[in-house]
Amino acid sequence: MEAKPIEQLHAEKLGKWTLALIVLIGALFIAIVLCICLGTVYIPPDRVLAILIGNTAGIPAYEVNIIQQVRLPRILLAGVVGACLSIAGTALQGIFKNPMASPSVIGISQGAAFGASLTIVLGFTVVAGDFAIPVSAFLFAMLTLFLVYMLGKVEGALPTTTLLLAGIAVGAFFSALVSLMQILAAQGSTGTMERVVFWMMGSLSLANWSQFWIVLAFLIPGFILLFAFSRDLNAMIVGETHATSLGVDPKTTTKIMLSGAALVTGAAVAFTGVIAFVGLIVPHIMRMLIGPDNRILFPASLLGGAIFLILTDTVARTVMAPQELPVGIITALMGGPFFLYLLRRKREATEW
Amino acid sequence: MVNMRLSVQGIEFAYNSVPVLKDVAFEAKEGEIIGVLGPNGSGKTTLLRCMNRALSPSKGTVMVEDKEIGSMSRREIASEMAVVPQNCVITFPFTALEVVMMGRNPSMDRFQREAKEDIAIVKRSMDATSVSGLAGRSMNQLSGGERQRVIIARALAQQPKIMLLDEPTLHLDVNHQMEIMELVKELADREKLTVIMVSHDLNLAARFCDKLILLSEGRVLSAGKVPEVLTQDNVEKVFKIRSLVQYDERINAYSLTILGTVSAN
Repeated sequence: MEAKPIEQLHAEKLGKWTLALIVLIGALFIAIVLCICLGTVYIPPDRVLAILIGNTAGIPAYEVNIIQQVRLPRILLAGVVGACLSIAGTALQGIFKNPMASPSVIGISQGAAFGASLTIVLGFTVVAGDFAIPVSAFLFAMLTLFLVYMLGKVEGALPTTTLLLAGIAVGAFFSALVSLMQILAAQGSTGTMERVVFWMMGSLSLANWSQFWIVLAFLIPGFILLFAFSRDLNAMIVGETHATSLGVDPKTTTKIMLSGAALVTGAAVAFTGVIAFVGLIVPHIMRMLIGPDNRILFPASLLGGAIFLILTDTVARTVMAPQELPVGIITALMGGPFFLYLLRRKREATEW
Repeated sequence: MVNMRLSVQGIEFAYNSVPVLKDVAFEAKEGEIIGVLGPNGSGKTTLLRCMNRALSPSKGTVMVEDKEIGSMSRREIASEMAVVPQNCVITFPFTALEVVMMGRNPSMDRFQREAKEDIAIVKRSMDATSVSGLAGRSMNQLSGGERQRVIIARALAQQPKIMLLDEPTLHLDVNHQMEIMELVKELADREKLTVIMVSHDLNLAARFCDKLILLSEGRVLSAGKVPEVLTQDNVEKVFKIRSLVQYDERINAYSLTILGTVSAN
């Protein structure tokens, strides 16, 4: 086997990073425009682009309205939610050194959903506004992480089996609490079951502009925090003793990664419920494509997650039109088999 | 005290108020290889971890030349001392090059990318441990010996004055054990590295170390040149074996022969 010189290997790696970012940004733009076109009313791309740049001359007002008030906020919300879940998955997989970890698999999405729906049912939003929902979701996401960690750890480490078992138990518990609370709060009024399904399966059907801005306001600091510690996370993946000897503080890094993941998961779940498996699939695909270095994995997961959820949500709202599916059904239909595939591979090989 | 590279003074450490290290002190010059020996639970690994402040000793100081480790940041410590831990199992497929490049972390700012100089240092380090040819390979595809050489290259890339090795030959076959120890010896000579090495292998330690420290229940039982430390009495007391240390002209070093066990009572 011929060995390439180190300078060349390093340059190739950086080249690959740049290429990946360009391709993903391009794909995100295409996905946004394409998905705005699609829906009960088809609007051709040229008109979509015209409306997006604010040139509405000669375009029917209802089309402008559909795009500006319905499709665009929904697609952008899908983008930021997908990005949140994916970078949270990247952080969790890294810190637990476990490719099976993701916000929904280890139950923190369900914990966040409980926090969010508690705030809504108790009426805190009347006083504090919609911003209270992700804040509460974040706090409950932290609480859930703590629970899963305490339940699942074996001599300070978190093996796959106990991590998954603790996550399933805690997730199921909070799911049940959310459902119970929705049913009790509604007291038999119509639409109760729809609300339960909304929180359990996740849906973007209630998207609006203010939700997008709020989630974005959480995504930006969350991403910066995680990205800032991405090199420290690399060292942690090699091992804690290794990290210490490289000048990285393992405790600080762990805290940053977990709270960053909880922050963006809380924001993602607050307005859309538990959309499962996004944070599992996207980081894994990105890692297969561009390698395990978290300095590229965080930005790539951010973009890839946005693309993934924009596309799956478009499938959810068009595949059975006019009937709309919760997007969580689509992601779970893809994620379930993917999860099993990962589990088998983990059993068969140590190579990821 | 000329040329003292490293000076460890009166280190004490306790896990949950059970004392593990009691008044441990020693000194090392540049280019010296010091072996830390002792049975399981004698505090060897704890001593290493106190030296690079992975653990904070309750008493005592560690000085690198004229600087006290306790007053330095983790990153500053990392550019003075590099650690080669026991073994590593990496979940995700980092390449050997990526792992060695991590050795440059302590000297880089948070958002800084590797400069030409960093790449040159990494290249020199990988050449020194003969792993340049493995640069593009995933760590998980390498053998135990190859992985250990990559980790030593990473330690070199930190450009430290002191290298701490925690049982560097554990789980390696005989051939790789010799290879790693010859490499360590060569690096100590050529790069003037001070090496502190924890080992279970009395024979390898006797052969490759300039000085030995024998730990027993957290105390230094004996310290000094190989034949002064590995006396029949000392070895019998600490390891419960009868042994003989001789200078072997064929290898130009000391070698230890185990004669038999001593019953514990």
